[in-house]
Amino acid sequence: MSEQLLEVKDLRVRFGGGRDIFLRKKEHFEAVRGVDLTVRRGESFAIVGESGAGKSTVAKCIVGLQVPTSGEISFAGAPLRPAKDSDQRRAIQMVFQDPYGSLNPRMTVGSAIGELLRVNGMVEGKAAARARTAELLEMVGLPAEAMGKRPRAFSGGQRQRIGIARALAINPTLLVADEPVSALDVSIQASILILLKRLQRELGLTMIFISHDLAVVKQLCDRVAVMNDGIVVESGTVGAVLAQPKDAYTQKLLEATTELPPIEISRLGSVAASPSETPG
Amino acid sequence: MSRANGVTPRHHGALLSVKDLGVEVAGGLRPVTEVSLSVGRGEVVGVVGESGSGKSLTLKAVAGLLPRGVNVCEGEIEVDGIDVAKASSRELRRLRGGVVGMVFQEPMTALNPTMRIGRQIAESVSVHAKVSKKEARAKAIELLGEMGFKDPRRSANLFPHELSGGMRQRVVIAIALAGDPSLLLCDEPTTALDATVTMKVLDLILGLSAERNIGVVLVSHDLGVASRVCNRLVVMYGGRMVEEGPADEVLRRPRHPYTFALLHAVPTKDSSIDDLRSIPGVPPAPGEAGAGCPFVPRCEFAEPACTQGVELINLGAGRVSACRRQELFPDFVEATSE
Repeated sequence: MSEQLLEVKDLRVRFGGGRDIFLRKKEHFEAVRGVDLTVRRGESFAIVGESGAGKSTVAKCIVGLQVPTSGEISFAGAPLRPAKDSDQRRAIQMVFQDPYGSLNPRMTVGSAIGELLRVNGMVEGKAAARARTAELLEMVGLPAEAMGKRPRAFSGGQRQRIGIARALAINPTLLVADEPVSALDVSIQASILILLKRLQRELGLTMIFISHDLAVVKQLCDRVAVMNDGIVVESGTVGAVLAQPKDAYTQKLLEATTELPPIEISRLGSVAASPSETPG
Repeated sequence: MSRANGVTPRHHGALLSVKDLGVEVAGGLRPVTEVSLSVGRGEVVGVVGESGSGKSLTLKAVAGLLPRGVNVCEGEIEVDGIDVAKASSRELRRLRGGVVGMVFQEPMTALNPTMRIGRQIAESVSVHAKVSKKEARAKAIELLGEMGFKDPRRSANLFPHELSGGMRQRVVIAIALAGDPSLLLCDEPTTALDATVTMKVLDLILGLSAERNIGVVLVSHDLGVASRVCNRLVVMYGGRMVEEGPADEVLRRPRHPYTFALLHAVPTKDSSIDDLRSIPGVPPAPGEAGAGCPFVPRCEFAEPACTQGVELINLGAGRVSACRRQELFPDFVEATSE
């Protein structure tokens, strides 16, 4: 558990800068201003912050979708260079916020995941690909018949399940989930959170979970780093940070977190009660 | 129409009274069925529901802003004594902005990007009152101050793109208030905003309802947002209202299986993943739900009779539920003896 899988040191990402077509200097914007993170193997690590905090930029650097301006990221003891190292690329997979945008609308689910499996040499032959796809879909709670359908045919929650199946297809070591439930309806969110927690427990996945919502983070994660304005303002175990936030920003964020009066009914009357019709 | 020069309220109690509202889309779909709602002065009523629940269409119907091809097919909407369905376009125009102010989800699309915010607010001030340009501008600056802008005189010269999301939403609220409305309709006013900004905007809305003694309808998908500011809640699902009551009571002791399930599915900072219960299935698409209770396919307590029709049951103490199986709820005995 304590073995570290990912280490981020003094990560900086700067956008803009350079000169425009009239050779005027362009303003630059530093989205990430020196971030240090350590993610241990098997843990679920949250990066929390509001829009503009730089949390998604950090996530993009980890999966290799963004080249850092400076700083070091090491993965399993080796420097992270996903552009060159295809094993690393396979080992780190991402689940996106908008599941529809991350699925090819013209491919059936079966062919999309099947292609991924074959290209990455996970299986040989179409039959094996189908079998593995069915297995993956079952793992995320979808029937095997889902294979023959295109993303359009699914609801938001089901699409996110497909997005998760796709990310898990090539047995990643690290799953980076960027706001995986924020685009979903309230009544659907819980089922995806429960699914992610189950997968975490069953597969021993290491997960980096990006979110703006401390309440969601509390359900899923062991440790959390709170980001604001490109830096980590506070980090620690989720329990400690939520119970006793040290930083003023974390406190503000916590105060703004969903709080409901406690529900006083834990279950509804027995279903087996008299099914007789009430008059009128 | 005879009421052209002044709006005289017919009802003393409710600013807004919606009775058995039904909204129909050309082609026969019914995305809103039998929704009733009443809002008084100083009251903040939350309409909560998921996407497709009909909450936004209900609000648009109230403002007379239904998109083309979508019509009110049954029921009554009265705003300050004016029947919205029968109102002339002239009356509607005065209603919008004058009696009813609206705040939408996306502040950037509600604002004119090429116009300084002071002018935008002043413009809506002069639409609703006969004032000089100077007076309108003074009112605009005053409104900006009320919205929490620190230096309203200088802020009035800013363009929308120079403001943060929260500040833009404050400008939209200022515009909505420019005509001194007595009813403020807010459609997901904080959904596009960050959590900490959300709280500030909600506090602002709450303060306005108290200080100006106006009625507020807040449509939201977020129970946390609604619970923070609303006195009363109307929970919608599949185009119908499933439950209504004082906010705190609805959240603590729901009287509909949907509200019950939803409350057990929402992660909060006090809940743990092992207590969360997911709701199987998906919400019906707008207009897809039939004559019966729209929650039937996802409800573990559904009986055959539930598919026959829905009746709103008055439970007393301002509470209404659309679930016929009230015997499921522990409050049942208590409520029937009232």
